[in-house]
Amino acid sequence: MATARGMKTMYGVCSHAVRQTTGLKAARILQQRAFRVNGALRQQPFDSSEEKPQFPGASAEFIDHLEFIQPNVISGIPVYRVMDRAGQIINPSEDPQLSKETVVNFYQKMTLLNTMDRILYESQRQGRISFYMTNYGEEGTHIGSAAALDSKDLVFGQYREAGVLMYRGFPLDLFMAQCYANADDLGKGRQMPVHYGSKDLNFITISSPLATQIPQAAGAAYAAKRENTNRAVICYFGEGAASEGDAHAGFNFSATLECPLIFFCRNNGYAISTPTNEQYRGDGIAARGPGYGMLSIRVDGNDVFAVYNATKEARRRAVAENQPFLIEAMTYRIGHHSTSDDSSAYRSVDEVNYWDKQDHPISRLRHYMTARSWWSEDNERSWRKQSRKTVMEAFEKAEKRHKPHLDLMFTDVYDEMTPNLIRQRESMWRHIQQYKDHYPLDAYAK
Amino acid sequence: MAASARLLFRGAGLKAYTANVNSGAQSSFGTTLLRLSPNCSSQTKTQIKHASHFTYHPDPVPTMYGPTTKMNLFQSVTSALDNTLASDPTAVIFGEDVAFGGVFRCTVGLRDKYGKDRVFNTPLCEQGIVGFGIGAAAAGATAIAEIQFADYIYPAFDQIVNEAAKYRYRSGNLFDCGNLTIRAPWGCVGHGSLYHSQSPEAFFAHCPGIKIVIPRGPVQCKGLLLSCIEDHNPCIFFEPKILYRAAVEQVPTEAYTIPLSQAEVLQEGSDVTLVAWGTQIHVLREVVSMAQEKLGVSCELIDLQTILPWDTETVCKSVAKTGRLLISHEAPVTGGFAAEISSTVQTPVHTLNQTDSNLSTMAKTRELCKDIRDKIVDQHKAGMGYRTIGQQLGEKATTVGAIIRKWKKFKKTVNLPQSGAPCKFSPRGASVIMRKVRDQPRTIHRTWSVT
Repeated sequence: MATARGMKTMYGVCSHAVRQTTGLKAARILQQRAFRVNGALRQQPFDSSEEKPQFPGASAEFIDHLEFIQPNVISGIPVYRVMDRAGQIINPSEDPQLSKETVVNFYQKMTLLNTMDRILYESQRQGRISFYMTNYGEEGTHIGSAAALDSKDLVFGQYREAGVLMYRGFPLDLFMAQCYANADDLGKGRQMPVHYGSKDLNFITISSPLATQIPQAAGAAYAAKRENTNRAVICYFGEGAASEGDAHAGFNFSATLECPLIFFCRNNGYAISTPTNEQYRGDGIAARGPGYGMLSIRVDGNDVFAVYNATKEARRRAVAENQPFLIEAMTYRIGHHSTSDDSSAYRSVDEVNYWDKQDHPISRLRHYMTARSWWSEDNERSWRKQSRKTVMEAFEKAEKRHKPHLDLMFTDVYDEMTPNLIRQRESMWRHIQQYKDHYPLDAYAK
Repeated sequence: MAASARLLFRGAGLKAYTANVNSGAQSSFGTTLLRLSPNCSSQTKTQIKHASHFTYHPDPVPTMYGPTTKMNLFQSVTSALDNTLASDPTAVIFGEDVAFGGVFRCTVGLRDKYGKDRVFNTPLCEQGIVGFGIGAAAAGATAIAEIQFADYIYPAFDQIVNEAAKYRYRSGNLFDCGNLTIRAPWGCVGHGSLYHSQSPEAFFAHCPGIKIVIPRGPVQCKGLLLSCIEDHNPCIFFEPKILYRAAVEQVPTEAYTIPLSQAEVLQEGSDVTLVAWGTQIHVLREVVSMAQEKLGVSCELIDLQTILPWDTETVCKSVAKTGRLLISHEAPVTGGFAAEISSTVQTPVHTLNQTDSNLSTMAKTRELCKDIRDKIVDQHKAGMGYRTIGQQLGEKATTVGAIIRKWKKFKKTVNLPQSGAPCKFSPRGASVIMRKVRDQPRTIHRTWSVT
């Protein structure tokens, strides 16, 4: 019995804890296991004299009565936050105590993103760009996490992470260029709007298929680990994309292959029109982490500091211990899914208004700043005017630029153009020479 | 999947004549061979035909790549991977069961030699294997992913087609996964049934941005695999599993590459062009000697090697010479890769000699077909000069001028028949007519389609 109890404390596993929900206890259990990373690599040594189960597949205790583990959805994994809804710090020891410049920068980036979203959404409605997706309500998740990373950390996004790119310094001109698909676009005008990418800022180009980036992030993190340059990888995705098979693949691979990777799930309540109760029945995404052997946490995504703290600690440990972390940031998608969506068809305006007025990352941070006299009404007015002006300038510039050169339709399919692509390009030029009256050639770069 | 063959006759106005040499979808390809030569009795000194019989024909010993040693196909794969791991510190090999050496022994010894961080097992998830490989490649590592059987590659189809193939294009060349190579055992093995025998190259051939390569033997395998690994585009390398042990050749021990997208003419001939890849090459080698012996037919045998992007020039040039094309592959015939080859060969292409590509007219000797005459007129309307048009289409400037003058005068590009003026047949035209009539004695001019 003594040995059995000794083992129990060592592993931190007790049948009591097993019957409890996946909660903080589970996190602690796995924390203790984390320091024995190598133990997980070996199968348990086979010893038939012991009364413990000897199965290679799992190392738990025997139990002699039938009991199903109850998934706990009502009081599942708690939500970590630093500020309350009014922007007051709850537990001062959790305040990251960032400098005024840093916090003002957070605020300015969030509001600049908000302004750009408004203007580009309108421009789609006016027929100037073909499509747009806003980030309303999720600015806190972008800025908080981006600020906690190193600039050389690789970012894999889904499509609602423009704030990460903005925080890293992607110029407004290039945001606009991609949305307008003009000749300045780094992506050479090939993709729909909001499919940004930047090699300099270590932001992998967005692709439309959901969750495909998740196993890719695991591979990139593995390569980063082998490079040994203290580089982490972060992978953003929504709670809907987390249902994809690729998400399961990515989680499992990153845990078994010990990758320095942060999985950041933006749980914003909806996947287009599908609410979370139709997306999953378990306790969100964070509860899946322990199933893969991953350290997991749920945070208040509208609290910039909570997001910042969680991401910072996850990054530090991911690189130091070569293991993945799962952060589920709870937030709300205030805007429509995209310009092709009208969310009043599936949710009430009151619900949206609540989040917009009562629990918005921008206003919470603003209250924090005004409480410290870091931001005044005058600051707000002049910043609003300035940010709108810079966005409009970039917008007007982008409107006037040419579209990319037509040859760019045929390059980069392979590293070098193949003979059939060369033939097809020549065929296109011949066709255009002959029917030039039918094509708006003036709009394209020469 | 039994072999399916497409036979094409190039001739004036003839539609493609397609023959399915096997009777049913699932018949073995041993019996198919017998039907090709109905005079062949089972008492000849040819081998006993078992269900999946074929004779492996080894390549001659290569002399330009340094010292060689005897290797079978899986050993040539191991050798290529060994060379890669030795020379490229970022190279990693991963997939199901690769750590202990692999279910086909392709990675034996590599984990012990290079370390468990470089040769490792992944969980059982093909979409994860390829996704992981794409990410590792995009981050700068040389990623060599193994899919345990080509039959199981479909969960990774989205990652391959939507992601790997488009990575460079969609990012404007900011990012790419050219460092990715995917290897998978491929093709019939005799007892593999539905799910250990598939040849899925046709599914992927429809996807620009990736390369697909299939070797016929160990020497080709090592050289082509090393080319794929070196290539800056994501490559899928299918290894004929029936050849893993059966194919033995002298293979160079040092690293060497065989260029991609270059088909190899294994044997020259004059009567028919045979095209195949992988295991079927060896089947067709036997066909070549049987055809010569029993029918007096001289075959030109081409190993396509790279399915995508494929070497259209070599194949079209060969068909222009022989006038007939037969393609043999293991996958189902509908939408199989033979369909792409046969359709390309039959399309008039500017790069070919104009007279050889005029498949649709018969009458006058050097009369250009209507498409080309129309093109000449269109280009003239667009403002090109006679000499430029001629250079572009491979015609003399005087011919171009004559066609344009005729168009200016009569407003038409067709040459209407003139009463009293006899049509002149070239000797070639005459021999085509003779051949057609010999094959189908009841041919009259109206049964031939003339545009």
